[in-house]
Amino acid sequence: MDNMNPRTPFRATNHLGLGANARDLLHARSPAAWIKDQIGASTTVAGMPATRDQIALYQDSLRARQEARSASIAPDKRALKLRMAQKSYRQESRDAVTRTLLLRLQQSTMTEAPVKERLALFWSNHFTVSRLDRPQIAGACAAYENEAIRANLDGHFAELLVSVVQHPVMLLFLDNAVSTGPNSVLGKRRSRSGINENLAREILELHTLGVDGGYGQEDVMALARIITGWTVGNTRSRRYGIEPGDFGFLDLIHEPGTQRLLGRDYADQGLDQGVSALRDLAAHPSTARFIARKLVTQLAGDTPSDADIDQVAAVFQQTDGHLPSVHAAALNLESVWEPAVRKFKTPYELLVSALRGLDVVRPPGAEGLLHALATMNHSPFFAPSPAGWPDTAGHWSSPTALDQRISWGVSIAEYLGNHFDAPKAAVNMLDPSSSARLLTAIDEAASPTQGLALLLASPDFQWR
Amino acid sequence: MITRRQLFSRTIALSAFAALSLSAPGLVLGRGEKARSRFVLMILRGGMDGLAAVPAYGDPHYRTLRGALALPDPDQPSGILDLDGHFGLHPSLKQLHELYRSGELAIIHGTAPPYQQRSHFDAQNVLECGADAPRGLSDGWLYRALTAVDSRRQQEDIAVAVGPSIPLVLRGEKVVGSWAPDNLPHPDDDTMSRILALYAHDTTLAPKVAAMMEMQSKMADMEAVRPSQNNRLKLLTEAAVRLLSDANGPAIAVLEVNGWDTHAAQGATTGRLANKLRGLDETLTSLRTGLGKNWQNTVVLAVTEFGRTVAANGTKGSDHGVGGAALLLGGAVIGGRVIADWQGLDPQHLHKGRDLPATIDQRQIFKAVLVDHLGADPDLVEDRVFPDSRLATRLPGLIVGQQP
Repeated sequence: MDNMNPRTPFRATNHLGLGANARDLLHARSPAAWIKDQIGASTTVAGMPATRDQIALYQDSLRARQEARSASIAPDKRALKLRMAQKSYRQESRDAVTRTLLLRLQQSTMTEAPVKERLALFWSNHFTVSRLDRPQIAGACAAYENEAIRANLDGHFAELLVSVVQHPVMLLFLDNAVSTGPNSVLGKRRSRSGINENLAREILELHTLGVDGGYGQEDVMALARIITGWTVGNTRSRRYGIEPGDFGFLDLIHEPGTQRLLGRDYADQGLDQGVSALRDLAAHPSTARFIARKLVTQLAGDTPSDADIDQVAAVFQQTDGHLPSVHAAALNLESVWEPAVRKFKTPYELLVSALRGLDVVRPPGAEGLLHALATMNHSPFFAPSPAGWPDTAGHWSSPTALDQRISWGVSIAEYLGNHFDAPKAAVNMLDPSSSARLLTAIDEAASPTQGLALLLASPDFQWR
Repeated sequence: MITRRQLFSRTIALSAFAALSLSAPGLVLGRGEKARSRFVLMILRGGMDGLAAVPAYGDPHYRTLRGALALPDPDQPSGILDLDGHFGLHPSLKQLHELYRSGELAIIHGTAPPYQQRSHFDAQNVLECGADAPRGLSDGWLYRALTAVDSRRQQEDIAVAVGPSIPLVLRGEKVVGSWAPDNLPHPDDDTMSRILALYAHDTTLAPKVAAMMEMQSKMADMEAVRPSQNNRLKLLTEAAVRLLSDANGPAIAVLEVNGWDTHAAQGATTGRLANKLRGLDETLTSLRTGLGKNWQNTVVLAVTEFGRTVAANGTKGSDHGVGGAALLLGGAVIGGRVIADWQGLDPQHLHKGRDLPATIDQRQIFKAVLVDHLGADPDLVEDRVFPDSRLATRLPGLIVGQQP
């Protein structure tokens, strides 16, 4: 085994974790054990508000605005009242979103299980929900990640998938909450309502089989019919036993009948029809390969080898998608430890690795960090499409992006000021063997602040 | 005092980037009259509803199929803006309607990339890579066309991406320039020159940083503008105008507009899609104002990855379809026409009974722009830009003064 890559603490913390620092390097003295211990570690975010409350907050504000519009108020006061309601709604919703994003950022920065945190971020991006143009779910996206994804990384992929698809935020984001079977009780009564195939399509294309996974438009339609009735409660749904902001199965809008999906018939057993279909999709060989490719790309470089993908896909199939086994298999690939394999950090990774590296416990101006992420086009839960963000250098390293990253590195260094010992921090945050030039430049900097700026804005620090 | 611009030119001259990217000033573009042609490609991501932007209101099936999405007839309040008695424009597209009437806007209806499935991401990939299947080619068609458009300049100097990332259509071996508004403060000069020295040793990032520096020196006075959610597109359009107005600058700019995926509550005369279309109307016409006399030599093409279902779906929106509408405008366009191989909206003529079929391959429009407007060699376009696409013949008669 002479050709094996050295499994160093630096590689483990910098490439597989979320950035090297003194504490992580100490914990990772035995990298294999450090990683193994994290496979089952919890990544749920303490103190994250519940989806139900976040959606209720939105629904309340909506009601307040509707009341302000209502005729019971004297016309001369109506405009003022509406303006006030709108203003307070905007402020409240902004604050609610900011709170959740900061909690999530704090988790990424402070966790002692950064490898597991990386995996949580990976799955969150795989099952993307986005606040873009969706005020209804904006305050609940981090809660979704916490409840549907972070809480389900220690079981099987099928359970993760079912949790995601049954989550109110996903059902609202991809329009399934209102999808109505034309032959359902309510569908027959309301001729203007009908099926929305958006979620069904993205389940097949983005969440399970992948676009080349062997399905057709008829399968999209079948799955869309199967998951009609998977909806989210509002004040009117209480009488059917679905609380506002909760997931519920509403038989009244569920399309009756057997559906054929990928050549298999699913008898109409209400909610179970969809659960069975999702379980079969999770077990499909195309799903194993699709997930394996994405995971290997995340860990072993932008151009993963077929052998690596096959290896992880095989584990996925042998273990029925047992996520801890799949994660362990990917993290154990030889190419993951190959020093020449480097990944360009996403802006979120860049920011988290800086905070972790400098061990900034309570970053001053935390909202400024969110602002910086927005400028670098990586504001959490703000992906431009349900496909989430790419994780390749081609996407993140445009000249404009580099400009923003350099500016950010310098400005955060100026913000943190002169009390950081940049040369000392740099020794932990960089690989001394490959960053000799940068370390010299930091030593020769005109001030500690400039040394820190060179470190954070350097090309070396853009990669992991 | 040294200004930013002076510093940058000095830094570049002194640094290892010198050989990488500086274009010699005063270079004459291309050949002959076609030399000063300009082209703006705008990619509308998410699938713009072609029948909302350009309704076929004269079709007997229009109103019944579109249901809640149908727009009022031209003689109604907030009605369709009539084009030719059969087609019209969405009431939000008022200024484009003026351009149509003055002969500077042509509509191509029932067009799509050579792809009939319904994935956004694959459809956009086909639109941008220029092959006839997703991921058929790894770089972008417009990138491959750059040497055919102007063989005397470096490829990376001919085109610019106006936005935070470089879209696939402009991605290739070398890195083209890009610009986006930036609201982070810039480093001081001393720190910046030390950082640049470090980047010179990263072979992947060095050319990108060189492109970044060149762009900054060119756009120094626009850097001060603070972008917001609302003025972003306006700012990007202004930047495109600025870059294209420079006689030694790029001749081609690419912009992207997200948010056309209207599955639910897309609205009709008002609402979400109406607002998007109003923004598009303002953006496209502001290019005309901004480019001034250069508008005469300009072609702007707005395309999307697919159209949407003819019928409204169950949630007052529309789902992914096939054939969509493309907008071609500019002083160099022979406009005032709707170009379509129109089969009507009768469900028996629709693709799988639900979508407008794609009767015009988008590459037919791209080829016309490249050859007839930008003066690219037709053989190069066939061999290198769009290999194996001979059936997609370039659409004739789109461009003023084209070679017969």
